[in-house]
Amino acid sequence: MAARGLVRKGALTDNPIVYQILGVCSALAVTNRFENALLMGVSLTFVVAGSSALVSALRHIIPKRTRMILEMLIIATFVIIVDLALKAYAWEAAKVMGAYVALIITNCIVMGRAEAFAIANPVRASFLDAVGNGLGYTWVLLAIALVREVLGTGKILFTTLAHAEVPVVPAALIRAIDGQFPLLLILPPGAFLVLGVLIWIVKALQGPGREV
Amino acid sequence: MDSPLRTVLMTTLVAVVCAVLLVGVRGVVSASVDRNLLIDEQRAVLDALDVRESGVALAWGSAAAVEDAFVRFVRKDRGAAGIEQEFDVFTYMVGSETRGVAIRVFGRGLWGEIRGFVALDPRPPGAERWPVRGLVIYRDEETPGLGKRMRDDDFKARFRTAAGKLVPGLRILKGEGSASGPLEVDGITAATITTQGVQGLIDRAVAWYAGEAGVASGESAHGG
Repeated sequence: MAARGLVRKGALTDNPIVYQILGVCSALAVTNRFENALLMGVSLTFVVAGSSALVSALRHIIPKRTRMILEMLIIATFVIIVDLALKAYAWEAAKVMGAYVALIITNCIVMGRAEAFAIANPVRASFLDAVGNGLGYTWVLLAIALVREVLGTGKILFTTLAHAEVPVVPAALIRAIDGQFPLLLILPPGAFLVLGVLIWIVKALQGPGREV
Repeated sequence: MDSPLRTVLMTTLVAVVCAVLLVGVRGVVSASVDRNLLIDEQRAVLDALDVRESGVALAWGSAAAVEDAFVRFVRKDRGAAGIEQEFDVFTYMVGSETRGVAIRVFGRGLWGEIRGFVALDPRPPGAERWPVRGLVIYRDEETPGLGKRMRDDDFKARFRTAAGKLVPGLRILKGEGSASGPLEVDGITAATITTQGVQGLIDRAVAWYAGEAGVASGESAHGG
């Protein structure tokens, strides 16, 4: 498959969150802030791309019997690299996202790509496939976070990548809705609602005829 | 199917590849990570001591601002530089005037260790108790939304000088909204064990500091 097709498949037409409902735990956990969702998306994309490429590069020497544990080892290696990089260059974010970064190890998307694609395909294709899936994960996270943070707090707050506050909705309006609806969006159940609506919209746009 | 020997060899080889990768990355970033840990600690000390001199903004303060404020106003009076030990003492000095001390103390929360700083104002002449200046937890494994709330500004404000609390004898009450007087502080609803942990931190720090100040041996008349 052409490079463009591989990326497109993961990012859109076979999006891991929307169509496979994979990686949902972290999609729900870090999406109350746009900035954290962005960092999580970038982190996961790095892990899935790096681990897929390495699994693919080593696929001829990885013994079949210890295949999965070695995939896990490689994934864990890239997760630790991300964790160290965040601690070194994005300390505040590392403190907020620490537990979730470690949990990338168990993110089904990463293991899924290693086992379903990288273990049997060349390095370049595996890398592109992983990047596509990482981008697919990232845009869904960003979409959820945008809705939650903007409607929940009325602004987009940046503390790590920049020190800025981007007001989107006047604070008075947020207060006027009595705090209940914005609060709901900030709390974990809000993530479920927004994700559900998002999947609904994407599938509705796609029209009937596609059952997954 | 691979032979057992090949399986073991190749598995080991992949593990070595991963290890080499990690050692390399660790070497590149470890200086930055260590610096961030140090800044984090210094920020907690400044926060506990409520250092607000000349526009030092803690919440948004850059690493450089933290280092600058720390060098200018804080002295480590007990414990070795760069080593984290219980009962390290940090003193907030402006010129030759002591504004307060922060005592590092370790304790147990619900899920694991908690570490923090208990900061006290200088004891007024003749007084038996120290005014509490600040309480900052900088390491914990408490439950987000419950025990973790002890890190919120809201909870920290209950231990600022303005709140007028005194030690020894300060008790953190169960639940919120019932504290009155200088020896009672509201706890955190639904985080009783965390609250007990924080109480333990304060008691340990104060007991140690009072001992150092000579109160335990009845020399308060000289120390006051």
